[in-house]
Amino acid sequence: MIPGRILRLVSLLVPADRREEWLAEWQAEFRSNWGKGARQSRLPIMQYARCLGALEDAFWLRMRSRNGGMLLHDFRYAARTLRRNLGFTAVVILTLALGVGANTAIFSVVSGVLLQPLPYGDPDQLVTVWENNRSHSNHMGQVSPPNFADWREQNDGFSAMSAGYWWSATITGGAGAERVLGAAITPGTLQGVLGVSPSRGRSFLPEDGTEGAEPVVVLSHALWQRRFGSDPSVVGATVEISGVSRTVVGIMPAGFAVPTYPTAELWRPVTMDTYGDDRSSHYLRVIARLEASTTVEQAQVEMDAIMARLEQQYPEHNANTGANVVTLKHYVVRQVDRALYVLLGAVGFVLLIACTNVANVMLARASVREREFAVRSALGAGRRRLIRQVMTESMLLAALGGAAGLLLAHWGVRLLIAMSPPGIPRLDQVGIDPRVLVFMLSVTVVTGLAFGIVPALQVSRRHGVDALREGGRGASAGRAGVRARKALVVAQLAIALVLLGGAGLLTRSFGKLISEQIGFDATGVVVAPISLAGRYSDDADRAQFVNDLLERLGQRPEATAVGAAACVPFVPWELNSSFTIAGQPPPQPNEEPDARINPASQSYLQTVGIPLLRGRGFTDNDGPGSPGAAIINEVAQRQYWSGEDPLGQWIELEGWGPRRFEIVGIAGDARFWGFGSEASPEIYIPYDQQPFQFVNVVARVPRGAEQFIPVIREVIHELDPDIPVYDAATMRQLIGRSVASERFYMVLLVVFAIVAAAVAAVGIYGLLSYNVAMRSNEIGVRVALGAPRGDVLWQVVWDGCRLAVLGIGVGLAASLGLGRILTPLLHEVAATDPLNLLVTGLATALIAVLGSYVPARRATRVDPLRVLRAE
Amino acid sequence: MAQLRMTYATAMVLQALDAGYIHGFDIIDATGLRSGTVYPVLRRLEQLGLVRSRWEAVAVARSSSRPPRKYYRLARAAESHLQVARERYPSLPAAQPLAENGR
Repeated sequence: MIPGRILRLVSLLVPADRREEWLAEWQAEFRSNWGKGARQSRLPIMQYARCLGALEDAFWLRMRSRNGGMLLHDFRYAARTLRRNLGFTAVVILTLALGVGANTAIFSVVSGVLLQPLPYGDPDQLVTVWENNRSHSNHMGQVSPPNFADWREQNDGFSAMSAGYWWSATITGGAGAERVLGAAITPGTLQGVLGVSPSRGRSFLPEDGTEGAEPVVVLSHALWQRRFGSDPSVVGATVEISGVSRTVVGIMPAGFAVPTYPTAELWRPVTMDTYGDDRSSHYLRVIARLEASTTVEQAQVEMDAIMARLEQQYPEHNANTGANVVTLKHYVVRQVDRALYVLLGAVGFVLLIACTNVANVMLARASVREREFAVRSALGAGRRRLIRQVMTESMLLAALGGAAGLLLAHWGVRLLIAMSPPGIPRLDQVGIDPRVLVFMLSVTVVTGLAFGIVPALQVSRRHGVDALREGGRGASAGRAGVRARKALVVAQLAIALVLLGGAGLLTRSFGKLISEQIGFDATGVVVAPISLAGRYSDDADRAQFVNDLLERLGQRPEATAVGAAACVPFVPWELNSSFTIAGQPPPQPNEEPDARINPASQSYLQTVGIPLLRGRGFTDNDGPGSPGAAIINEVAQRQYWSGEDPLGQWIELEGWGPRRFEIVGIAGDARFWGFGSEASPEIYIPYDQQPFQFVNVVARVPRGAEQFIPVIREVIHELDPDIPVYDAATMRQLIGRSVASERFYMVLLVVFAIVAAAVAAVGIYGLLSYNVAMRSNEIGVRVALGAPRGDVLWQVVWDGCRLAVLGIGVGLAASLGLGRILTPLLHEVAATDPLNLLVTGLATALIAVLGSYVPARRATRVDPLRVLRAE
Repeated sequence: MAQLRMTYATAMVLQALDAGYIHGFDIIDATGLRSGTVYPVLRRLEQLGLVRSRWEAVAVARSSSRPPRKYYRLARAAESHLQVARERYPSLPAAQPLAENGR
């Protein structure tokens, strides 16, 4: 509950002798009111408003304490001044709230994702270890089981080493079939390596993974809640999972995840000793715990030595392969950290621009109030006294802005979490934490000082008599002030330009990304992944089931085509295998051609709209008993049959269907992993010849694709209620998900840029309106002497434009320097893209002109008669 | 009579206390004043000896499972001030007696 924390902070204001009682009273009132508020459906905002009341109460008490008198006087005076200028106060508080609120929200995310230690025992000792495949420049390649077994045996630098792989499990019985993502892990992973004990039951014992042991499983807290209703008696009970009865031995604490398999919801034990000698399959992710005395660098050196030995020992599989030790922290936050730091930087600029704006407004007011200060100074107020008065005002504004900002941040964090893309790790743990609160308070205090100190210094530098003589206009005496304010406006425009430039780059990059040709027609395609694992162990049964399913779906009038395939673009999962080409010389060790092997039904290519360029498609004659048939894509042709005609040639796929496949057709390329990743070699084989246990049902439904998802579920349920369908989606949705993070960063940066631009426009508007107000006499005289109104208008706009030119110059220079940071986030756009710089420069100029136009119009409306009369 | 400026807020708070609202937040709800107004008024009244505050017994609080709350009562000396408050702000909308408030 946030009010509790706020109260404790506010209580620091209360004189020490009354603090404890004060806190107890307010807490009790909140506690007994919170529940009641919920019943009366009172908005939480009321509670926050009451926190403000608590602040006032605390101030009241502080003021009446022994040394609070002077402060009280300043404070009341400041409060009264602020209340009298409500417009000014509102603008300042809103500007600050935007800056502080956005900062706190983003910082909460950065802190939660990047700065908090990982939730494991001694997380700094945890590393991930990968195969470093130098010939494919894959530095974080998955590990083959025999390599892992050798690593584990031969190392001295690690106290424990664990490995695992994905496990797609189907839970049946009770509440119906459900497909759940899990992981198979070595028994020591949970406690020995990660150092986390289960909240109920036990974790795996070394003997759990051995052959012939009783099958066991450990559940995540979320799965336990969802599927088993948090029933404690589940521990010890047996559950039917993928056709095997497994005993649940433990439940992990809430929020726990194995970092290499973050979305796995249950774990089963495996030992790697039984996996024989197949060094060609690389599918393990390895986590290890360093000995307390070992550094990451030492571990890397040791792993290099081990891998060098294995390279010599098994050149056919380990040629050109090393090992790569990566800290777990780095692995978990990988790509995300740069993007988040960019956002943090951007939002910092927003705060900076907000502060300069407030400073600007304060400066303007300071010169307007020159006379007031002069009078006070003439009446004997000392320099320090005046500075303190201005500082009190600034601090009060900062406090109010900070409070409003906290409220904004509270909503902002929720909004960020709600709209954030999948794949930002640890986002569920993000909230406004004490560290963020401290950060925000210091930002507020620094802000208060920053924009308070300039006017305070300026006021105190004035000589009272001069100011008095100028009769409150302060037109010429404020020249230093005006120069400072012009500098601030130039800075604002420059910052706004940098942000606009960054937003422009991300937007263009995003546009380029999503306009890329994907190689097939995604409109109206529906994808429903299903798992036949544990349900049909026989190849023929699986083929039968899929054919029945496709036949029934094909009878639906909505669908113009239906098909099935193991691998579907934008569904991030593939089957991969190396193969040999009959008639070609045997390849170098570890350099065999490899491709995605995709068991697909006859109608699959037509359904998703991948064109068949040459040859034929699969037919009824390509059944289980017939000779193997294969269709390759263009990339595969280019890569492995350069200058030859692959049609009619044979390939050998060890362990797949009939083993030998004749190439009967060539299909177009489709991007598989998403935009921005090139199409990769792919070999389609008839599903009937290799009925794989995971298969994606696809359908083309030109109208109402989304309504077809329940139809697929229904048809599958009719056929076999034990087959779960999960994550069915339209291809458009899948494509949307694949660019969700790019969209997220782009949208945020655009929002920040717009806020910055708006604040900068207000800044230049404020400066020029002030100038016009100050110079209304001069303007009036000029108009009276016959100056055309157009000239007056143009002169004010020109004032604005001069500032704009300076601001744009500084901003462009800064953009060129800072743009480079964005480079890794950009797709086919250079950070120094001239078009982008031109557009942002023009946009900034437009902002400046808009900001100057309104005051310029006002200048033309100055009534010369009134001015002359006043003179 | 002790020094007391009979502002609108002070009059409201006095009447709310007289009507039987004894906790800070209840007075806020009954008077419709802001919490930042009500508390300083209460503190001033207490300083002047017109209001006394107590902590409610732990047992009472525990029976409704919340921390003990502080409550405020009018002192006898407040009678005359209450009179002034009623005279000066006769159309005061505040402070239905508790019984009619349906609680």
